Formats: sequence, structure tokens, C-alpha cells
Amino acid sequence: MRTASDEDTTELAAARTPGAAASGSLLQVSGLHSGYGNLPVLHGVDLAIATGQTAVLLGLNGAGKTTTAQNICGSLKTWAGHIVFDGQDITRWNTKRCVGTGIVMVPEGRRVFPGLSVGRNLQVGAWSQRRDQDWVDQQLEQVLTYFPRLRERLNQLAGTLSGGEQQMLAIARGLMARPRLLIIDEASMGLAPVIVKDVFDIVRRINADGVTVLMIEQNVGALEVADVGLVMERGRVVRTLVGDELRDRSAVSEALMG
Amino acid sequence: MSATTVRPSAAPRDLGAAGTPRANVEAQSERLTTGGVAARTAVLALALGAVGVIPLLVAPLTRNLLATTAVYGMVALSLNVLVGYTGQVSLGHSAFLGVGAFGAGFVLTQLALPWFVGVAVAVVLGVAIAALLGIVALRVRGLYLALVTLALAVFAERVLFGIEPLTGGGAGQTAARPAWATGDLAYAYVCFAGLAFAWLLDWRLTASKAGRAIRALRDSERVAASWGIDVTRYKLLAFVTSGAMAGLAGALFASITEIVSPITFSFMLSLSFLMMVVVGGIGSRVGVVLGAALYTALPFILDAGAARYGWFPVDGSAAQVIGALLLLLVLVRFPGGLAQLFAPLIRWCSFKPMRSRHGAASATAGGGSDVRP
Amino acid sequence: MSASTTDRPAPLEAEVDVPPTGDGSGDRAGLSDRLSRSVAEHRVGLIWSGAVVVLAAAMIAAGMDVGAMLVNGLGAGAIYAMVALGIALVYRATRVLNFAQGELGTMPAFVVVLILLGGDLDGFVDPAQVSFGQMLALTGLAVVIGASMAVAVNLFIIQRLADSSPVTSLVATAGVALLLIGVQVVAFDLQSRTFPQFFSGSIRILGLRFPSHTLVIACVLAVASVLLVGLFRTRLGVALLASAQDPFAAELHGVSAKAMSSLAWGIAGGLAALGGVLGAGVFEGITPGLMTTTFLVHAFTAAVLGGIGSPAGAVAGGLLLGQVSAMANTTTVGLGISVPNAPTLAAFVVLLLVLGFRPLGLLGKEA
Repeated sequence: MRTASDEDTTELAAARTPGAAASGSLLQVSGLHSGYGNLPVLHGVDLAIATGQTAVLLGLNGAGKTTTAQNICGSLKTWAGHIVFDGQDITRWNTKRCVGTGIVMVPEGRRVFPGLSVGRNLQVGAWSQRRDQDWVDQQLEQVLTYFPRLRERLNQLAGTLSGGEQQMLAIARGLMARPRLLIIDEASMGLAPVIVKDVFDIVRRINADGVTVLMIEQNVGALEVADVGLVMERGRVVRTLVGDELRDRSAVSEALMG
Repeated sequence: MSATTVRPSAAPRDLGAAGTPRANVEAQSERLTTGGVAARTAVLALALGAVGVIPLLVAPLTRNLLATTAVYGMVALSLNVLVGYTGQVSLGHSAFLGVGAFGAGFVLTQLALPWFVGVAVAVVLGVAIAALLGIVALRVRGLYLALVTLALAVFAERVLFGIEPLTGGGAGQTAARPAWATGDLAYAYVCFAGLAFAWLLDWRLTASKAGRAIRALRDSERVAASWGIDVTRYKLLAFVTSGAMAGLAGALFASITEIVSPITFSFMLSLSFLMMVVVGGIGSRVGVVLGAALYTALPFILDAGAARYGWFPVDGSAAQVIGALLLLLVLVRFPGGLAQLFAPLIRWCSFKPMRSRHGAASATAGGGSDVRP
Repeated sequence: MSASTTDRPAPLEAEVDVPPTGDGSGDRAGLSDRLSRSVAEHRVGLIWSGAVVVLAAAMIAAGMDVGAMLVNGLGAGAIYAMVALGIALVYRATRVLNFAQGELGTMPAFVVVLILLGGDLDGFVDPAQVSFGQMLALTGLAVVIGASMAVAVNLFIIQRLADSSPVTSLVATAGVALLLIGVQVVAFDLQSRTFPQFFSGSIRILGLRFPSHTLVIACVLAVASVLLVGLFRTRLGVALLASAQDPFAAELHGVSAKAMSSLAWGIAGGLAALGGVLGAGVFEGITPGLMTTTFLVHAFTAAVLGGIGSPAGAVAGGLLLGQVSAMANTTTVGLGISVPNAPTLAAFVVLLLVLGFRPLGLLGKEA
């Protein structure tokens, strides 16, 4: 899915921070402070995600997971700290620039466009790629292969879809924006376990096809599909879980409760 | 704010957010010293005295203008009850003023009844129209209500006030002054008394349980209802109070020039009232009256400026331009208006202890804040 | 998006949308099925229309000049529709009731006068001297001015108030209207100036005498409506709708809320300018505050009648309200009842009736 512009960015990035390209780290967040209005929420978040990984940002309500995500995708102002994406410092970037460089967030609560059809929702998702209509057509096919149920409902109003279908649509819409890093915020919220399993399966497939995924979750089950688990508590990442730790129930509960 | 538009968790910045009385709650625990009380009383007495003496000092021709300012102050106070306390915007207060004016005029001239009867009728009419409007307000949301009030203003000006048998049509309606206050000076004091009455009424209202209930409606009616507040009753009460004040103002207004015609009560006048309230400071008694004073004084300030500093000489309509600019400026940058500007002074005069440095700073922090003080 | 303050399913919160016509619902029901469903949905609107038709018949029977009434109604209604269209567009895109929709039109019209007068603020235009070509060019300029002003209002004021309640934005637009009227008065005094039409005179069609100007307005309205429908089928139009429905989500996919809202406001400003030029032409004269004093309340009523946020509804509402106003005029005059300003009375009554019985309007729909 790489284009000429992607390669330019990587070369420039390599020139800027040789270490980053070498270690395969796609996203590096260091010392992030942020919040809403006068209310601070993040007190120095540090995390790193390598290209091709599925990372899960785990934590309870109020831990600052969504705030972190919003900082990464440019919709919330960073007070202090740095966000480096593919070697480029994107701390001060707004959403539009972040989307342009391949950081796409699927927001909490799905937030599909209720008055537009499924097809039109996807069309809007591809807005940043509208100059490359061939790619868009191709991606649309790809996305409908991931989500066959959406293909059936292409002309249906998004507001009339079920919760699970809307979640699928939201992810599909995000994919239409050509993400290198797809951030999925609370995908499993309010969905039946069977649907949640479907969502996680999709995440596996997307990841396998080359998209780095960052999932924001309260649901520990998300660790099943994760390569790295980042546990957040009160505005900081307090624990990083890798490899076997992710499957080890006791390590996980200790990280969350301890 | 380089971040993009909607931040899902940010509290909305609404009309009057900077002027909520809630800010005063925490500071009540402190007490004033005897000296503090004495100082404030002295200053307030002096101020009131100064204001009271103004009509005697100004040129005779300006006395009617003072009367008009006082009346506009009353209307501003009445509008503040709706906009500041309940959060309902009215673009139609010119209609209330007109209803009061024409009502009083009709009673005084056509029915030849005493002046106080005219005033009473004006108040009753104001209350009636306001009650009807309040009933509409129960059914529709704020934006639609604003539309209805606008339509009311236009309807009143073009249709209602055009009914000749009631209002004299284009020729206008006469309204004589009371026999005991026929002179400009005396009548100016009558209007001042009216303003004082409206002020007192507003003061007692806000201090009462009813007042607190009404103000609870502004933030969220649903929340207020969950606290057991009878939304219907208090909403109607707010409207009725507003209508009564405005009707009274109308009666006084009619007798300033002793003749009123429909064209005075246009929606433009309504917008001017809104401007007074917004620029003065939504939710602040002192603020909105200052706003009214500013509105009437503005043409003179501009004229004086043109004469002394060689500013571009303009007529009264420039005042409207400046007023509108102030309105926009306040909305976008200084939501608290004049009241915010004079906040420390107003606080001192209200017999409240001055806040600590930290408290004061966070409360008066600039207009762009999205956290309520 | 705005803090909800009542428990009722509030009218203005309901999502109002033009049904995705071209898309279809994927449901291949027969024509008669769809027709009967459509009738059931719109039965209130049909009842009203039916009542209007019956009234018209009664009036003809009573000897009133219904023909002239229809023509007058069209002339007024088309302007109402044009202003209402702008209001609906802005509301749909940014959830703001634009009180300045009228003055965004009067200002460019005054600029036209200024140019025709060659900068002489005190002069009077001789409409006969103005050629069609001149009018066309000046109208084009007016549209650009109107659009630019509207975009400026959006970027400098409305977007800054994005976190506030819609009522605050309404008050802000009222302030803009006040400002613009003030500027007009400062520049031109309260004097009425003459204003040219595209074509003067009238044409006879189907036995009715139509002022040429009325036909011009109707044509412009038709073209504008068609263009808008076309817009909402393009990628850009869809992005605009998306941004209107959920600006945050749209932003996450690279659709700039500022750009989309500016687009909507720009179009509305252009429509306002057209309304201003054509509206002034109706009276062949222009005064400060013309569009607001003469048309704004009616336009708002029309927008509410048609379903606020629905462009199609705005047009339908405008035309319908035009007829109702003309009918009010004709009946009161014909019956000899002296009612001051019957059209305004009619508009007020219509507004109250709509809000009382069908707040969503004729073409408004629940989400």
C-alpha cells in the first residue's frame, strides 16, 4: 500500500532520526502531558509501537486512553512532550495533517454519519485519498471483502444499522482513509461477545495485511490479538506487557489491579 | 486553540457562563469587617446620591434622555430575567414595551382614567403577553422560541400596533404624564423610581427560592426537574416577571414623549435591548443597566469625540455600528461583558468579601475558556 | 451537540434530511405502494394543500381576483424561498439560525447601487439606464461579495462560538445583522434609493399577467435549487453533509469542519445576495435593512414550515407561504375587512400553527 510519497517520508525520516527507522518503531510517545480546558488528564505518557504490531492500550475509565489517542491523531492539543511518527515529530500537527500521513482514528461510539448511506459513509472516509480514485475503488473492494455484511447494505442509511454493523462500518470507513496506523477506540463497547469476537478477528486480518493497529480498550479480552499491551492508570502508562505476559492471566490481573 | 473543533468532553461555553451567581457560593464563608461594611455603605450612599442628583445637574433638554435611559434600563433588567436567569433568548422585547406603552396610552387618553390605572393596565398586559409567550416556550426549544419572539416583535409592530381603534394607527397614541409630575425633571425622577423598583424586584427575586429555581433552569431543565423543581411553574414565573417589568417600563416610556407611534417598537429596538444585555453582561443586574446607559450615551460620546479629537464625524447611526461591534466582541472574546470588566468593583459593592488572588484570577480568566467559573 | 434542555423529542434536535433519492432504499416496491406510503407520510401537508385549494376555489366564487393573487404570491414566495434556502442550508450544515441572512443580501445590493452611482453616496440611480449586461455583471459581483461576507462571518465569529449553544450563535448573527444595517444607514441614510430590475414590464402567460421580474426570480430560484440538489450528489456535497451530521468524526477522516461550514455559508451568502438584488428589484427601491424588515421573518417561517434544515422544504415552504400571504391580502381587501398588514399576520399565524402542530414542518423527518 506504499506510494511514492510514503517512501519520501520514510527517507526524510531516516535522515532525521536514523535510530527510529532501524528499530522499526512507527510511533513513539514521550512525556506526553495533555488535558481538556484547565483539567490535566495525562501526566507524562510514554509508549512505543513498532510497525506491523497490534498494540492495546488498556485501562479503566478516566485513565486517559482516549485523551492519548486524541493527542496522537491531532484532535487534542499537546501541552508538553513529543509524539514521533515514522521519525517525524508530529506533536503540533492538526488532524488533517495526521490523516494525511496515515494516522486514522475510529472514534469511540462508532460515530457513523447517520443520515448517509453505508456507501456514502465509506466515500467520506476516503476523502483524503480522493485524488487517487483507482486506489479508492480498490480499497473499497478490499474493505467490502473484510465486511461482507456491509456490501449487502451499501444503500442503507447508516443510522439504521445495528451496533455491531455500525462498528464494522466505522472501521471500514477508517480503512478508506489509507491508514498506516489505525487507532480503534473502544470497539467492543456495548457489543455482544459474539460480535466482539468478529471485531477482533477483523483486527487480526487488517494487521496481517500491513496496517499497524492501536486498540483502546477496557476489555481485557483484547489482549488475545495483541502483540504488546500498554496498561494505563491515572494519566500514565504504568506497565508494558509483551509476549507470554499477554497470555498469562495472573500477570495481566496483577498489572491491572496491583 | 490549534486543535480542531469539537472536543467531546469540553463543557459548552454558553451565554452568561461567566456571570453565574454560583461563583459566589464558596466565598460566603468569609466575613466582612465592620470597617469593610462601613466603607461599602458610605461609597454606595455616595454613588446613589450622585446618580440621584444627575437630573438636577444636566441641561433641561437632557432630562428626557435620562428618563429614557432609566426606562431602557428597566427593559434590560426584564430581558435579563429571561436571558440571564433562564437562558431563553427573546428578540421581541420591543413588543412588550409597546404593549405597555399603547395600553397605558389607551387607558389614559381614550378611557380618561387616572395615571396609576394606566400603569396597572400596562403591567397586566405585559404579564398577559408574557404568559402566552411562556406557554409557547414550554413547548418549543430555545432556537424556535427566539424565532417566535422575533415574529412577535414584527407582528406587534406591523399588525397589533396598527389597529387604529386601539392604538391610533400611524398617527400614534397620546399618553399624558401624571398631574403631579408634568415637568421633565419631575418625570425623570418618576422613571428613576421605576428603575429602582424594577431593580428591587429583581434583587428580591434572585435572593428568593424562586430565583434559585429559575436560574437552575438555565443549565439544564432536565437536571432541574430531577431535583424536584417544577419547570413549568418557574419558567412561567420568569416570563411573567419579565413581562411585568417590561410592561411597566412601557407605561413610563409612553409618557416621556407623551406620544408613541408603532414605528418606534421595531425589531431593531429589540436587538438594541439584546445588545444592552449582552454587552452589559448577561446575568448581571448592574451590568445590563450599565449596558442600557452605554447605549443611550454612545451617540453623545461619539459626538464629543468627533468634536474634541477630530474623529470621523458621524451621526447617531454610527452608535449602532459601534454597539453591534461591541456585541460581537463580547460574545466572542469577553462573555462577561461590562460586568466582567468591573467584576472586582461590583463584588466589593455587593458586600461580599474579596476573593483571594487565586480565586479571582481563575474566575475572571479570559473569554475563551470552556470551563465555567 | 447542543445541550438539550427539555424532555420532549425537541424539534430542532431531530435529524432532518432529504431522503437519498438516487440511492433508493434498495427496496423495489411497486409504484402504487410507494405512492400510498408517500401519501400517508405527507398527509398533513396534503391536507393543508387541499385546504388551500378549497379556499382558492371559494375565493374565485366570491369574485376575487385569484389570478393576480397567484402571481403576487409567486413573486413574494420566490424571494421567501430564496432566503429560506440559505437559512436551511446554514442550519443544516452548522446548526445555526442565521439571523443575518437578510442583510448578507442587502449589503451587496447596496454595493451595486454604489457602483451604479459611481461612488456618489447621495445620488439616485435611473433604472432605465441600466442595461441587462450591466445588471448581470453587477449581480455576479454581488454574489461574490455576499459569499465572501458570509465566509468571513463563519470563520471569525461562528466557528469561534462552535463550543457554545446555538442560541449564542443566533445572537451573534443578530449582531452581524445589526452591524450591517448600521453601516448601511451610515453610508446611505434612511433614504430609499431606486433599484433596477433585470427586465421591466410584464408578460402574459396562460391569461395571467406576470411581471417579468417575477419570472426572473422564479427562474433563478429554479436554477439555484437544481444546482444545490446536484451539489449534494457530488463527493464534496456528501462531505458537507457528513460534516454537518458529525463534525468531529468527519474531521477524523480529513474533512475540515471549517472548510465545509465555510462552503455552506458561502453558498448561503451567494443566495442571500441574489435575494437582495432581486428583492430590491421587486420594490424597485432599496432602503437600509430592506431584506430583514421585509422578508426575514417570512423566510424563517417558510423554513420552519418546510422543515428547518431541509432545502427542499425551504423552497416549498417559501412558495406556499407566498401564496398564503397573498391570499390573506386578497381576502381581507376583497371582504372589506381592514387588517393592518394582513400578510404579516398570516405569517405569524402560520408559524404558531406549525410549531404547535407539526414542529418538524412539511418535509422534515425524524432521525
